[in-house]
Amino acid sequence: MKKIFLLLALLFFSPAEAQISYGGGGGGGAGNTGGSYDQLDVYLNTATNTTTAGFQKVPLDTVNYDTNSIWDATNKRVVPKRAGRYLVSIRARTNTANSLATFVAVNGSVTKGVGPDPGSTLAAGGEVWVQMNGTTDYIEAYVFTSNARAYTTGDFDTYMQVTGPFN
Amino acid sequence: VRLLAVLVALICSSWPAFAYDQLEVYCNACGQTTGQSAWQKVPLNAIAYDTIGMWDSTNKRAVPKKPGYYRVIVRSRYDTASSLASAIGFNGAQFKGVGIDLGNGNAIALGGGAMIYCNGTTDYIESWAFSNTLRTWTPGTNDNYMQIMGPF
Repeated sequence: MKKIFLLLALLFFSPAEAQISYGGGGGGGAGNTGGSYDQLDVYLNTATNTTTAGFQKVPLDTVNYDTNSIWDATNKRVVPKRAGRYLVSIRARTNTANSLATFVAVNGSVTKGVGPDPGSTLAAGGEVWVQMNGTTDYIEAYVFTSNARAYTTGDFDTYMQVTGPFN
Repeated sequence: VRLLAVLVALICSSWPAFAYDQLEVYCNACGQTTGQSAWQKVPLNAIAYDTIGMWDSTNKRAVPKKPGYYRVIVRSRYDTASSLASAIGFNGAQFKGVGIDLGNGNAIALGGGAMIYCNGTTDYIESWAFSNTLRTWTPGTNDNYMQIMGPF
């Protein structure tokens, strides 16, 4: 009888009531509302120039934190290990102002412009929700530039953060 | 035992597939801005996903169905550069400015995110933009969109 009551208690504990703010921790449950979220911060640490004008991947190269080893350092991409929607924040900064816009690429294709495209700027960035299958899908940070110029390095200036999955 | 089985079946059938409600809408041939030097609603008109049916396509607004805080991300992009500001609209008026506002007439796109509380019944969310000239919204999920997830 105790087992039946325990089962009923567990079933009546709605996951919607277990929702928490960003950052995880807590009780778990369907939809990953109270479970842990995978969290990544990578940034550009090596002095690098953009290539000539056009879309190009930001060669992020240094991990600040990576709680579930979702960073593929060889290919400079994020490969989430759990299915769901991830909040992706990116920013890129260069040492001289000119055309610059930031994008999130999924599986090698630019899929979402994020933040501003202000014509001439030192930096741009923003955030977007991106769905991942948890196995093969991957995320990259892209920029569009009008000329070759140097990125400014460090985790303050040029970075990508990924948190999720939120289901 | 039968009663318990029925009870379990009922509970499992009502178990939410998504704990967070999720929406993405975008511009698919939204046309031109409607006026000069004015705030205006972005006429988003195509759904990428909507897990709980919160999008009101008639009024081009999101009406969240549960009370709480929602993470809202909007982005607006035009075919020509000019003055531009971007905002999240709440109950019919611009409510939170997001992203930068250059004010110098050079922006072609802007965007950003904010947390917005909705009561889960009547409150609604829209994407708003300020444009100082007539120009065309660029179509597609890459350029003009609004994403909502919550409640947190």
